[in-house]
Amino acid sequence: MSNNMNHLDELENKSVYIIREAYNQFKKIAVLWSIGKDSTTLIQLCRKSFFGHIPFPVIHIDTGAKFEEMYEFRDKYAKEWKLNLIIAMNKEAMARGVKCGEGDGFTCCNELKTNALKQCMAKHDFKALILGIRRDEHGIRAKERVFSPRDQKFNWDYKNQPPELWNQYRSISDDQTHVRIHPLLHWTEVDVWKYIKRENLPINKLYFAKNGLRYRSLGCKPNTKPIKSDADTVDKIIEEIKKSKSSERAGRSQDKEAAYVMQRLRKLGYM
Amino acid sequence: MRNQKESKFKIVFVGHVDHGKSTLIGRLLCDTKSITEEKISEVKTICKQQGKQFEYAYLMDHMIEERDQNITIDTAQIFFKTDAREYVIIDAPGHVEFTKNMITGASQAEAAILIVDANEGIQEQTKRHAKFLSLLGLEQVIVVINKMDKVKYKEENYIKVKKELLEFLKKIKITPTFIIPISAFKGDNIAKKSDNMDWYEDKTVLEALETFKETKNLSNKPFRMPIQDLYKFDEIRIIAGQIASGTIKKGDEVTFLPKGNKSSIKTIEKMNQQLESASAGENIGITLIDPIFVDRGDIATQSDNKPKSTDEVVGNLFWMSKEPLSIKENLTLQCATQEIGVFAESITNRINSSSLKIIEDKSNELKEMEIATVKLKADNPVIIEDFNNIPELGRFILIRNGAVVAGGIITLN
Amino acid sequence: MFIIGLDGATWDIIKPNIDKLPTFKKILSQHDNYTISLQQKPWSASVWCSMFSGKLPEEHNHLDFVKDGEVQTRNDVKVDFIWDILSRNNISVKALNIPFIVPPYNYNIYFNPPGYGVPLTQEELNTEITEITNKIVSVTGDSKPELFIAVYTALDKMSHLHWGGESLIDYYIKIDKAVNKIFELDEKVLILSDHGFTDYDKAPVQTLPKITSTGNELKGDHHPDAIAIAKNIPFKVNQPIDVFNGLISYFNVK
Repeated sequence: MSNNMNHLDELENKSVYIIREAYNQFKKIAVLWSIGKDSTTLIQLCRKSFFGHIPFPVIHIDTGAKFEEMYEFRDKYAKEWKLNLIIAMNKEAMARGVKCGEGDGFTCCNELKTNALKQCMAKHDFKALILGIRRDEHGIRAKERVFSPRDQKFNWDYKNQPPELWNQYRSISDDQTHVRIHPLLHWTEVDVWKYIKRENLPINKLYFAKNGLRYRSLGCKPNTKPIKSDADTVDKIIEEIKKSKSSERAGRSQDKEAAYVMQRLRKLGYM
Repeated sequence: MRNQKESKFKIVFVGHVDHGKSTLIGRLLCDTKSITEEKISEVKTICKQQGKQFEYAYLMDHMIEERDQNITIDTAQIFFKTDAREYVIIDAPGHVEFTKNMITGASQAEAAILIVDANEGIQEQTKRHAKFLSLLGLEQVIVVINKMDKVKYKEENYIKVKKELLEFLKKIKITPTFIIPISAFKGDNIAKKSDNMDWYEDKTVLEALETFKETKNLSNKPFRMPIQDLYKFDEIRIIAGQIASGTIKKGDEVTFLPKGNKSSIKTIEKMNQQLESASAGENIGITLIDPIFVDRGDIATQSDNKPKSTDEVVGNLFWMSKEPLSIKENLTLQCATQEIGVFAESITNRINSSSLKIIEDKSNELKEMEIATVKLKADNPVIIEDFNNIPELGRFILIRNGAVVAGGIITLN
Repeated sequence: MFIIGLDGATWDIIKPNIDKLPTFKKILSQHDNYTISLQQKPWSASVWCSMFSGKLPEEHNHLDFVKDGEVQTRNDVKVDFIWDILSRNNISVKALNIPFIVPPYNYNIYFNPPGYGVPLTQEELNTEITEITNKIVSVTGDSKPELFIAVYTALDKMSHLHWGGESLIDYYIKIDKAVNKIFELDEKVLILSDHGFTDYDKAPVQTLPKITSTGNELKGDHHPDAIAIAKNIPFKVNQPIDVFNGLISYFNVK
């Protein structure tokens, strides 16, 4: 690595390499844009990879229940960045009356998101999908690979993943599977915000505090709850995230362990 | 705000397990205050609960176990720091992922500390581990002769072991930079100069570590850029790739191997900007003065300092498939963006990756979790470099039926 | 020498299901195997303690994991174990996951058992097998000691909870696979259990209440017939303390 590269440069370069590699291996490829901060970062990285033009479609899965501000934002930047935008909607389910956030909270996601995506992929015959998930988002994500195969049912066999060495990304694809590409896997939440600041990326204003509340992440309106916050600038958001992570770190103390042991012995009937 | 990414200097500790590796590491962690009081007392409490006396060695064991419980992918999280820099300890062989990561370069050490017991001298395991270092082409090696307290700090013992060592290491082409008499248990010559060995006047372990250079300033090496793809946007043909080493400037002449055709750089492109120069690690696009034909897999190189182009690749492989490797079997080698058909002509120095025991000197096959030196014959010329010099062109994977079956590194002598 | 403990293993499961257990099938045909009929109460804590200290319950006084509401630790057990004695005589020894206390005891080895040594969920019960096996393999690779003792404890919990069910047989199959990985790691191997198992209602003693405080119903409880499989072991184990005595005489220490 060059001595003049800083941490963000290294992350950016790694992501660009991944995106270019994916495009080289799969001509039938698309990138998913949820209009949130991570996928907008991803769009920027795609633009950088191809010198300002993204040579494949950008998919927005529209469940019909997102914030108004998101639609405005989407249409404005799709035009400005000359994106080949595909809006994926499960119109059939919507016609049946399936609404976001109603019912068991699972069916609507399945119908309006997953099935919408499946229909879109089938219609355009996409063999690979680029997404903005990060390893630090959720425990199970830590086991994800950069090139990650999915089977026909969109299932992920995480116990049998192919080995991935350095930046050699392979896809074992046949007609039945598609591959998911994760160029942001090695980015943390803080990295994303720092990049947004550096690149001066446009970000949905819902992320910034208003009246003591802000959204840490943007999902469907019914499912997304804001957090208490006064962070109304990127710098403040970064500070806030850093502080919350350090308080999360809870060391395992010996007293805790003894308590767990007793609890378990009790469960078995020893005490 | 810090701009430079702090790269941690990676060290591996090898040698016979009873010669004090864990104690030495525990000692280093404590003496450099790289482990919190809280952690130390946590380990002391566990020892008490188990009715054991606290030992420095347990600190290291504790940290390895903790790390193993985590989901994170990073293999090396145990570190210590001095005023000069931060070090990362890559734990010693015996741990399942260790050898694989060392051989595939996932966490390759930049220096090694080889431990030998002053009383026992070189053991079988000492030799095996040393051989492993030489397989990786590791040049920066410190030897520590430990447990000097048990031999009453006598110089004769040190001299005897030192002599035996140098003889052996010479045979496997390792020249240690330092040979230091220490006692990890008592703390002699680790962070502090020993009061018990006036006859030794050279550096302590920490001082010795500080002399080691970071090997990876790639910008100063000769220019190499594997071509990743070719784009044509706005009627301009752009050659895209990530610079593996070196620096280029507008106007420089580059040669594309293996074909050998050359041209000069017209522009260096990034989104919405053109650069005067670019260095190792950067993903760029270049346009050339002449309309020559180049392809993905070609390597753009400095015209006056070209890498080796060969149809014979000798690499140290880590085999990862349940189906073993056999001689003459057709495989695909991927090195940077090069993708070339190969087959194995010979398999030597076959080793079990967890015990590092030699299975066979010459073999016809290689099984899962084993390492060997394999000579590959290629259908077409491959452009390679020594892994310790230019890593991107010194490491490769092997593919069989679309699946990755091995990782390997190249050490050119 | 390598001693493998399988807490609660019994011929009553192994022999009728021998065709599902290829490793056991093979080693039983090649090596000496017999039943240890306990003359002391078949309580795990007390038996493992006897086995490795050479003392009967009346002497070592360590009857259970919990005494007067306190979880017992190593320091509460006032005996010298075989590993203490061998170490004093400069013989290398490691002991992994010995369940005379909870969490189980380790000597000269670092191991964090799943579930703090009291695995309860199916995942924890299964994970114990893999983690112990991996630990055994990694220890014997690099730094094999002259005596290595390792105990798989989760089998006991499985037997309490699932005696009479298919899932227990499946668990034995997993154990069988694990034994396959480790049986060849030494020339002298002794596999044994601290007691057997039987239906809760038929068991001669009740070590635990039938319905636990959280509503789990126990299906099995301890039986005094334990198993032994001996590969090149120069002593016979009639009672648990014979293990200790046999080791003392084999290693020729006092």
